[in-house]
Amino acid sequence: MKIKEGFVIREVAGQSVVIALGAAAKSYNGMIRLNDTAKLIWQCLEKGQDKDAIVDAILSEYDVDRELAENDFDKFINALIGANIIE
Amino acid sequence: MSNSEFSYADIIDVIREVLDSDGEIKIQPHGTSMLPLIVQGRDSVVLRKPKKIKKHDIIFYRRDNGQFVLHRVMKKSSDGTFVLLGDSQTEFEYDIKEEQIIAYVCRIERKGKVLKITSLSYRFYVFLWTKMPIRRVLCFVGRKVAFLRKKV
Repeated sequence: MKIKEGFVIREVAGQSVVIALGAAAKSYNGMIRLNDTAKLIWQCLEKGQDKDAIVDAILSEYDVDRELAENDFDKFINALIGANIIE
Repeated sequence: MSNSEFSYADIIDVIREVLDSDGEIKIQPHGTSMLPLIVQGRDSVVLRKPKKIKKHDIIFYRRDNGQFVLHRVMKKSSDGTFVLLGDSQTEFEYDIKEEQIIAYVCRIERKGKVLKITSLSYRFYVFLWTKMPIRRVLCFVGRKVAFLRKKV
């Protein structure tokens, strides 16, 4: 799981969004809004962390059980795969 | 995936950053001034940074009052400024300077389909619609039809 080159996180009106720059912005021209959990997952992906580490990070940040955290992780990762943003 | 809840003032820095990186960014225009071509809620436009602005390009620019606008270039004046007009309008807007121009529309996306600005149908539309007498007649007929429909 690696974020493809060109995809970056930016702050827009107090909200985090993912946009594509350069060559990546030829195949992806949208903007993805991140909620707090998605932002945390994105930042972990940037550090190159794996699923277990990221789920641990969610658990240490939010008072949720592991199953829900894993669910959030899978949903977001699938969305990123669908949009061709991670490889 | 949409800019619908952000104002252009919110996202202009991001738009400029993408354009400066030679990338494309998609926006969902609102308003009626580019009818019948661009319909709010139905159509998206993909923006790119222009190398050279040509007559009949649709451009995204910022007015001196801060407003962001998407209209068509009708003429480049001898002093280097541009004359703009929305496709549903008949009153020209003068004196738009090059530095006010942020981007041009490189394609239009409608219900998952792509309308290229190099396509024959688009070029035919532009050819016809930028002839002001034809536009005035078509707008007049359009208004009459809408009026009659309302009455019926």
